[in-house]
Amino acid sequence: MCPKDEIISAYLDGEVESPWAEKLKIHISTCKKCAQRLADMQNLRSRLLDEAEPDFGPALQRLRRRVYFHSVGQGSTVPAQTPRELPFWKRKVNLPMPAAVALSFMLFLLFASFFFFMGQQNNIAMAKREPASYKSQPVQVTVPINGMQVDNLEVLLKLLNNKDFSQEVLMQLPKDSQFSVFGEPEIEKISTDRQGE
Amino acid sequence: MLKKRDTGEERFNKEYTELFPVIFRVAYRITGEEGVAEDLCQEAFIKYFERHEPLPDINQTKYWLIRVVKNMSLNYEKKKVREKNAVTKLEKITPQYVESTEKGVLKEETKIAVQQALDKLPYKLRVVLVLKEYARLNYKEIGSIVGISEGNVKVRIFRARERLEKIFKDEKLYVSEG
Repeated sequence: MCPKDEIISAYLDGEVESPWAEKLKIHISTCKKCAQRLADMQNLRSRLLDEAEPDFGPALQRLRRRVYFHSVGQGSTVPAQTPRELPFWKRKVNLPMPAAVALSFMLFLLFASFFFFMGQQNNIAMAKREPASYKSQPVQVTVPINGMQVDNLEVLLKLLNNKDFSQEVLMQLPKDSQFSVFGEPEIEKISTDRQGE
Repeated sequence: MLKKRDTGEERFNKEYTELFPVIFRVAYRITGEEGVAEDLCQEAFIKYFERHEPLPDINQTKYWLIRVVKNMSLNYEKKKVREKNAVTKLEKITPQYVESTEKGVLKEETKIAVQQALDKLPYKLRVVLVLKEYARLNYKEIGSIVGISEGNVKVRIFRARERLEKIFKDEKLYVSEG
């Protein structure tokens, strides 16, 4: 029994698998009708392939230039267009990753040390400034012996220092005073000196 | 940097020179127009070389380019069919004039060209036959490019051959009659 023409067409294309291809080969060698069918298809193929084609050499050269400059050439030795100069703020800088890390670390150190020293300076300044403000705090003290009124702590301290007597004095500091120690505590020093007398 | 450039240029030269003939041939045989084939090739190659990642081997590049050309050729085919339909309408309006003109042209032709015969095939049959005969692809590759099964490729190729044989036979009859 002869195979369908469709199978012969596939056989011509080498698309019939073994063992069917071998069986078909034997059949075609003995069957004139199928051999003729195969020959017709082979002739058709030859006709398709033998016809002269248009010369595509010029198109090949023309397109080579166009395609190259349009795609590959843009990043190549012959650029398709010269790159436009970007404004300063839009320029990009290529930096290797280790350099970028080192730079950011150095910047961090710079800022950290700057703030650290600034803090130190503030502490010193505050330590120097605090006693002055402390002394200038307005006070209302009445010394019971002479009935003197003192409105400044500094004056009070001098008074106590000059007078040759000892007296219990009750001092009430302002309610909003912050008791943090900066510099040399002068009241404590004075009382210590007095004890030595 | 220089090495990278050279590699790109080398790759371009190798792939373009090796693949251009087959891609152009496929585009020309599907569309039947040299100018259109040139446009399709240009677009396909530009698309390919603009890809960031090159394909690992030249055969894959070939399939990729053929697939692009085939997809783009469909748009051209649709346009051609629209134009053909417009001409047919015109023929219906002035039948006598067109008939006499057609006879005049055909009498001058002694042999129908292969490309004209291919153009007479429906697009679906023409594409698979062209990929078989001019791109030398197997049924599996054709199926993958066209998006149909291998069995369907087999049927379409056979039908395309059958139709082409008929076209050539009719041409012989016509020439002998003439």
